[in-house]
Amino acid sequence: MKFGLGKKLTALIVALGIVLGATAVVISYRTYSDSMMDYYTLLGTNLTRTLASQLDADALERYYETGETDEGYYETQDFIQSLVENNQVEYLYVVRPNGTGVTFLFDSDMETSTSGEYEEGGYCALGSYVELVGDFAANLDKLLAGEEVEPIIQNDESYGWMMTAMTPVRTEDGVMVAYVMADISMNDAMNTRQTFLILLSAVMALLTVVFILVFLLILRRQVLTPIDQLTQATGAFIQNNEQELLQGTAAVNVPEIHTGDEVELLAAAFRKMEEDMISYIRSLLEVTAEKERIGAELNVATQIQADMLPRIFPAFPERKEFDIYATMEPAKEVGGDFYDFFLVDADHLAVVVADVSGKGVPAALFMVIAKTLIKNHAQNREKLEDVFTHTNEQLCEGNDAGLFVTAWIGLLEISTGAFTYVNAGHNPPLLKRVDGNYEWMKARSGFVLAGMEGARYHELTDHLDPGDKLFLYTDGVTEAANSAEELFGSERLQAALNQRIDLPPQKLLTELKQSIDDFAGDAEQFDDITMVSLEYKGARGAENV
Amino acid sequence: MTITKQREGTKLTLALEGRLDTITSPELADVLDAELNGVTELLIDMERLVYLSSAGLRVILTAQKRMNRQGKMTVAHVCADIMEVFEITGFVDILDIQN
Repeated sequence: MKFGLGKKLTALIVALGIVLGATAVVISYRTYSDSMMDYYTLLGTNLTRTLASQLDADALERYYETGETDEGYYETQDFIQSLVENNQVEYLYVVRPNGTGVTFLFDSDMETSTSGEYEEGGYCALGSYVELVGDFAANLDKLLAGEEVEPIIQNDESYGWMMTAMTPVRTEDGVMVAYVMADISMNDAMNTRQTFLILLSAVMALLTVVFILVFLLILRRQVLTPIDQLTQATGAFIQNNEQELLQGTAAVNVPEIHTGDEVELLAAAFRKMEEDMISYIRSLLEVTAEKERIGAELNVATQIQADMLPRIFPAFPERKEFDIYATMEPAKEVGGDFYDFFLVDADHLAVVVADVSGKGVPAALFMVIAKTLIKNHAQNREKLEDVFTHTNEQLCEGNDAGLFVTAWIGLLEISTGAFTYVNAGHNPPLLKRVDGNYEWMKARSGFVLAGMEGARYHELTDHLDPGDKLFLYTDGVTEAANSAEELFGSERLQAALNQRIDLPPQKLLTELKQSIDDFAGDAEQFDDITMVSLEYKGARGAENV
Repeated sequence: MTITKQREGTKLTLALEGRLDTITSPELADVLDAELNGVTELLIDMERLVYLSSAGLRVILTAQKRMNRQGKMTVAHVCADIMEVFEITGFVDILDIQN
């Protein structure tokens, strides 16, 4: 988190405080200044007007022209001094603008001695001529024309802040003869104004700080702390409650928050989410447990199916006339392939290999029925073709799923080597004569079992000599695919068999399985792989071979 | 696998392309379920079909059984590999194959 909510909002409020405070200060300051100026202007102008109304224009003209005083001059001078004493005014004087300056007619600073003579000093005596500077010079034209002039404010080094108000004195004809000017010190006013400015700014800043603190306090209590609580509660909810969740004892850990705003809604939403999560996990666990149970049962089914196939080798340790070995490698949990071999009587060995169409539980159930029916019929000593014909009839009854079985059965008369077989749509086996290679036993096949009611099957007869070997398989062998989707195929199978022409059944099947696995590589096994190898050694057993 | 349907009156032609195996055969089964009502003549064209597994055979067999009840079914343009499958499994005896 780069910038927290607290920092961002504080920055925002500080900026707001500065803008609002500055605006308030400027407006207040200007309002204050204006009213202060109005007050002083009124004060000054009232004074100058009062004096101007008392002065005799003709007398002023005479003083200016002659530069000489008379009785009236001193009376006027006393009046001016009394005005200064009774008003908040520094200086009061009367001047006559001319040229680029003014000629003084009266000055409140002028002290008359008892002798009535001027005393020398820092004042401007009658007739003193002073050049106008600053704002006065700027208003020279107005002054010469006798117009009203706004008060002039100047900051003079020796006098400080000073406001000069002025009123023209005119003759009855309206001709300007002099100006009455009053200097009012504004030092106090200016100081007051500065104090006002500082005080106002300080109060604004203080208020902003107080407001921010209060705001932060509320923010922390109402927003940040609850959000922190939510974050902590939800952040590690799964990790911290793993055990409880698995046991179904987990409880909602988001605290109840009562701020009465969006944060409360958020907390409620989080609580709801955790409740849902807990109940979801609980039902997920139940489903998983159920799946595990089904999986376990499927494993049992696989085991039962495997147990149905003869798997103990050597299968007939006391029989030296033949050797038999078989393997079945299911692709899914339970497969549809099966093989079988059994002695029908002491002199007859039956061998079966079959493949139920489809996969999984339905195929496996169908396989169990087919295997049982074939074995029952075979052990009834029925003719081999009748075994399949009868099995087909029974499998067709109620076969709504449309499953079928390809099957091959062979019956060997051990004492003579006479061999009969029937094919119901199965891949033909390979037979290796004692001095030859493995060759396909291509013969006309019957239709698949359970495919069509009333199908007829015909048995074929052959003869095995000592040393002959028979190889049975399902299409899982020839249709084993590699990652390039090439099939193992019948040519590869035949070649692999002929490379191992002398191997006994068990070793042969082990090596064949290995070459199929090598071919398939990482590709998934799609179909059950079943192989049976039978070696006939003759009536008198291995010693003949 | 791609299945192309063409219907003319009560005659339905299904052209199959690709592999008909455990994974794709339910598609064909669904098409047959949906389309076979009222069909008296079904032609399955296997010209572009390259592989047929036992699961595929099962769907073909189901279709044949159904068409036995409501009309006739013909399989056409079967390639050598698939013909071998039909011969091994004895399907040649129950299917009307026209190449």
